[in-house]
Amino acid sequence: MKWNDRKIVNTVITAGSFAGIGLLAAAFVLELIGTAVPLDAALLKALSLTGIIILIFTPISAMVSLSVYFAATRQWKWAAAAAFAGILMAATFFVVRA
Amino acid sequence: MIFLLLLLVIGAVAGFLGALLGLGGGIVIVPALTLIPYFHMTIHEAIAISMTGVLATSLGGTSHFLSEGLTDLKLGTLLMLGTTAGAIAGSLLSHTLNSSLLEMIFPLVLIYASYEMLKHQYADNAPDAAIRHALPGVGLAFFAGVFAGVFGVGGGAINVSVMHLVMGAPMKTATATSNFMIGTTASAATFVYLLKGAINLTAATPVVLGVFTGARIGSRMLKRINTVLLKRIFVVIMILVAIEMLYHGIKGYL
Repeated sequence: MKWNDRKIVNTVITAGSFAGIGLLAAAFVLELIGTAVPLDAALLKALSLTGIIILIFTPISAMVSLSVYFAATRQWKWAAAAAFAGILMAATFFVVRA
Repeated sequence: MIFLLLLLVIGAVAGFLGALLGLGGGIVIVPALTLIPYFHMTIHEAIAISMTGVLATSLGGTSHFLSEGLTDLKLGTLLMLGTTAGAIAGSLLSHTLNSSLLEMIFPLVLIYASYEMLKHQYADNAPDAAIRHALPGVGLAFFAGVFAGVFGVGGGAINVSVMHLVMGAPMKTATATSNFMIGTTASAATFVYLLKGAINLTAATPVVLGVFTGARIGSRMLKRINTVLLKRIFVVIMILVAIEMLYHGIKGYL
């Protein structure tokens, strides 16, 4: 199988989004059941929270993978651009928080 | 149960339109959650849920767009440098900028971009075609980022317009690439809302599931939809966003 930038980013995004969405879907089904039968609220919260956290870190993981791919294929200019974009994204986490 | 199912449907509509147009979908989620009295949500709760929805729109659409070869990752990376730097500058400047004045200027930019989009027929060259006017494109993306940093909205609409009108990207490539880009900015915003405890997880879960499903359907539609029709839908949504912002700007000024 021949890898390219799209395939690498797609693999990371598909894996991350399906893991996150899977947990959210489980929480949703339990929530629906819970309207008839009381369930542990902490379990539902933990499932939803983990699902959303996985979704949050998926795009950043994709940018890191993209940067690594460009570096591995010696596309230095694009590797630097993707890495710099990733650094700026990480910076927004702290700036917006402040 | 009806509450959860209604949120699922609202999310699905937002995700469908968001993936099709390269926008976040917040234009559907925020008004629906705040204007429908059944939900009893404040604007802040709605924005926090909407931001999680924007992230799901991006993830739901991007994987299909990538496998179809519609997303231009190099173009997205280049513009992301501008938008993220702009978003940081916008967040830092948000206390000093006259936000009401900006809210009145930005809709005029959107209306002008809508006019340009309808007036000119740009050649829909293949994805991965050489990027034109890279520097002005990144500069404009910076201003889009400043606006998104100040108001938390508007990034997708400007991204699509800049890629299509300034950098010569085909409309479908522009919407698919914007879809990828909005995910990266939404992830940072969602993280902040999550840390602040502002996301209502019970309501966010069905919205995210609906958005993800809607975005996957919308992304499959993009390849089949006529470009002229796509542009018209995009222009209508841009004008609606412009009117809403103008209303807020005038209200803030008075």
